[in-house]
Amino acid sequence: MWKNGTFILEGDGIILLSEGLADRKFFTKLVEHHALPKMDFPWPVEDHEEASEDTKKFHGKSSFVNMVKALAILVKGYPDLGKKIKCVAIGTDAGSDRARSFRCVRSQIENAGNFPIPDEVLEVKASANGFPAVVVMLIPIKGLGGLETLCVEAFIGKRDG
Amino acid sequence: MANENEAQIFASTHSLEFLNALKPIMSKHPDDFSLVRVYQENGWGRATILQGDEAITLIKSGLEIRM
Repeated sequence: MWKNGTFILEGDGIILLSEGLADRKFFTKLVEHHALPKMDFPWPVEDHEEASEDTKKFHGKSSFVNMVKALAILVKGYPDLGKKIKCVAIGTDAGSDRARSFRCVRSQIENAGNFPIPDEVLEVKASANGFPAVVVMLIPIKGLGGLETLCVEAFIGKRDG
Repeated sequence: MANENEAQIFASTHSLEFLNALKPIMSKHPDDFSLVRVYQENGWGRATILQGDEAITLIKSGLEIRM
């Protein structure tokens, strides 16, 4: 949770990275609603939260590299804390091309370094170097679009679950 | 001051304001800085060292590093 300008990890070992505030809020409510294991959602930073201008740069689908890089440094510099992080989940819009969206996230994980790089969407890629596992989710889980697609289709009953 | 006196400065802090105040100079001269984190694990004192560029990335991320 954000408190006094910094983010304190307090979840059950899963960190979920999303590209926008709406996605972050959606995932936060989803976890609460389904009583899923407590997760951390460090970025993007809420407008009303006390955070520096720098943290607001951790926003958008091209900023996953910054997020993953910061987590890699945290794991390296804070090994006692790093051991508690089991998985980094990255959720992003499928957009108009699922393969391209996945490649975009994958290349950012690669550029950030250290973390394992999943070969497929929803593959929980374990690490051989002690780093947390990584999984990439595309929204919707099937098909094209984004969070809005999921919401609209669920609203009009076109999508099960 | 360190350069003028050819000296190193060791600063111990738990102040977020201090770390944030360092950001501009650390960003400009990352090679001149290191962040040494000292902590206890299983009763043993331990330390890890982050290079300046790593430290500045972490500070800018907003993740809590004062623990």
